[in-house]
Amino acid sequence: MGDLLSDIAGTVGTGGPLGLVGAGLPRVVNFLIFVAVLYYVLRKPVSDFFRQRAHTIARDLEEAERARAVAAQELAQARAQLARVDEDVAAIRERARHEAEAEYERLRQETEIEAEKIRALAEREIAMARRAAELELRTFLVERVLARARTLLREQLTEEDHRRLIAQFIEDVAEVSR
Amino acid sequence: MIPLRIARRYARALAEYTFARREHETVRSELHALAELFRETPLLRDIFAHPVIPRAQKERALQTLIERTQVGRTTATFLHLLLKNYRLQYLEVIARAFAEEVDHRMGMVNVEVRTARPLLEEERQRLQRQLEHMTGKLVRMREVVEERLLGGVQVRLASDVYDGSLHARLEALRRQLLL
Repeated sequence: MGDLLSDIAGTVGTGGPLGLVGAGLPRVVNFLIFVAVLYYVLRKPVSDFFRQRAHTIARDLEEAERARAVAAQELAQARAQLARVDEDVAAIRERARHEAEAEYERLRQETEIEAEKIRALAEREIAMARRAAELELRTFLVERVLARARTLLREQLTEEDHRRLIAQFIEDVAEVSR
Repeated sequence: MIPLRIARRYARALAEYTFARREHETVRSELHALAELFRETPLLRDIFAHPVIPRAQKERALQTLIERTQVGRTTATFLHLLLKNYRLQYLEVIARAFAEEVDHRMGMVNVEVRTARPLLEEERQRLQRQLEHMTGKLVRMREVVEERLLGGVQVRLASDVYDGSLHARLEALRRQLLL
């Protein structure tokens, strides 16, 4: 082919205004043919590729649009929830406060009842201890007094006193038998 | 220990016999002496209670005892009867029951008189008279001197106690103060 084109170019002559045409025309033709063949071979696959690519892009766009819509909806919901959070927090806080107050009141009452029981028990124990102490003290004093009385009687009773006590008893027996 | 019911049965039977013969005082004092001997000599009581010692040996021991103590015929016969009935080891209880039976039949009561100082004879006689007047019976007084009473008299008549002692008055005062 090269040789042919060279021959054609030689026949026509070189150096003239047509010299270039005469030497490169076959190459141009060849190139055009090559391009035509290439176009013919690749036209369908390339066309399919680009069509497929266009579909993919379109689908991706649709997906992106749907995702955007979902995101927008979720964003709206989130904003709405965010707007309600303060109310929820306030409600939870209020409920917690009520429960805490109720629990405090219950504990206070239970504590009061328990304290009352302990106080009553302590009062009883104190009263018992006081009575026991009083009895012990009174017993001690009485025993001391009686011991002293016995000592005095032993020391100071005269024979006359003894005779008088015996006589008094005999009189009492006589009184009983009357 | 022999039941008091059985002892009283023997006592009543012996009282019937001795009162008819006016031997009750003699028999009472003899039984009392023998009961004291039994009390002070537990071995003597054990001999008559022992089941292994033959009856003949017990008879000989009793005969020796009777001869040594020189008790009367009625008391000796009663002792042989007790031995025969396996009751001789209970002589103390029976003697006490007999004494009570004799006292009862004679209309006599035993009175324990406790005083802080011994009674004078005149006081003794006046007290005995008053007690006999009060009980309507003859009174046999047993006197005990007990300084714990401090003063006054305490009389125990069967289960009754008449307490005129200073100790009793102080005790009454103590109860009153501790109420």
